[in-house]
Amino acid sequence: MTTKRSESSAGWWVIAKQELIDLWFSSKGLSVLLGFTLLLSALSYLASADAGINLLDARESVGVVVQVSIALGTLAALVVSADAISGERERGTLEALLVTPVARRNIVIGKLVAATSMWVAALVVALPFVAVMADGPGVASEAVLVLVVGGGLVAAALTALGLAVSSVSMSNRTSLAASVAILLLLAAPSQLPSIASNGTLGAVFVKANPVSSGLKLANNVLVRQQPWPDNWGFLISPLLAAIVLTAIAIALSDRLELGGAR
Amino acid sequence: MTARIACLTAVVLASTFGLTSAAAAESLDDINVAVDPASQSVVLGEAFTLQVTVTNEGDEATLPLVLHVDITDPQKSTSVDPEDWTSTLSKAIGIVDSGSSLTVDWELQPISGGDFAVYAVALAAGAETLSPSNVLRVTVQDQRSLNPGGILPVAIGAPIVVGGLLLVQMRLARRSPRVPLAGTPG
Repeated sequence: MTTKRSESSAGWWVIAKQELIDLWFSSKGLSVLLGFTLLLSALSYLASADAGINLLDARESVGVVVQVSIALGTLAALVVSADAISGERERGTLEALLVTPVARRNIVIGKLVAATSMWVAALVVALPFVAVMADGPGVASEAVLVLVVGGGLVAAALTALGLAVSSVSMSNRTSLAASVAILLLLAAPSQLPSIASNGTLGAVFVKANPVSSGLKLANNVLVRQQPWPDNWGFLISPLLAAIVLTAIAIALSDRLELGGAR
Repeated sequence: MTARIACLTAVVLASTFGLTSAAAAESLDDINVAVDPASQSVVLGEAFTLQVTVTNEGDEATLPLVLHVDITDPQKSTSVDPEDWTSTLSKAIGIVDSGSSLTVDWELQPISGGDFAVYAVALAAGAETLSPSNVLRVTVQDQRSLNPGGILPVAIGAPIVVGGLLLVQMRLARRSPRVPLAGTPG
């Protein structure tokens, strides 16, 4: 029993290790990360230049860079997780994976851990940008906290979402398209005019949506300089979404099918 | 008869005096407001001190006065929000005695570049007029640089580091030996 448990718990780590090697020792992970870095560099430079001619824009620039870091970083993690199962299915390697002694649940957990590493890498890249830009207006610690806590919860939720979609999609194209479409739908409320988002229904909608909730948190704490205790509520939906979507992704592992690769 | 004329005269004089007093109290024409310096040149974000001097050139003490600072951009024909430049828009300075002066300092910090006109105004509750000052011309220079906020090293360095890692990885992948599939010539 003890041997079976330790084998079971080691299984997800074996999968995670292999996925991490495939992601970061091939050009796939670093290519995505390079794209993220280039976009963030351009945006940060333009935002800083704008803040140099109007001091009131400095805080807003930090808020924008943090929000974009969260949005792009979670997108990168989502793309990796959306490819996790459906990609194996298309490449014909899923069957080989399913016949291994590793439980399907542990396969999914291992892939989830590997996909989350993309968010961690994006976070490591974004931290120097945020730290430098936030130093001027004196919001460095708040900015880092928003990025790590708020961004981390949103990333966890979306990575699990991508994996769940990948589990049930028979093709990689469908999985990626569906995952990105869902992300865009979730991010759309954060772009609503303030009149719509400040109304009662709009405010509830923004708070219930994990992506818009995380972005709103960044705006309130960094741009409007509202204290953290007034904004803890914006962490509820990302936290719940992370827990629920991870549970769904793991539950769907029992129904993994070979699909067209059979 | 004489007493009646005296009383009537006293009433007329009292009324006239009262009206005169009221008119003087409600007019700030004898109040002179001056700002110093007459011109200022600063870099964006640099704070400077505006001195506002109120002089009562009239014969009577003023009503309780309030000083208010305003800022405008003559080139754009719009007013700048003074709250962007200072946290204190108005200052109550009380009564200024006849022949006396009172000087108040104001800290201003421009938040955008350009040429601005700054002036102060003395007001009093119930007064029919107000007393404006001369104009302070402020030139604010933008802080444009190739390295705004020190972001340039990070904006250039981060892509170089990640791109460099990617290049190294691609070269290592090319050098690693290829394992032939079974049944195919090596």
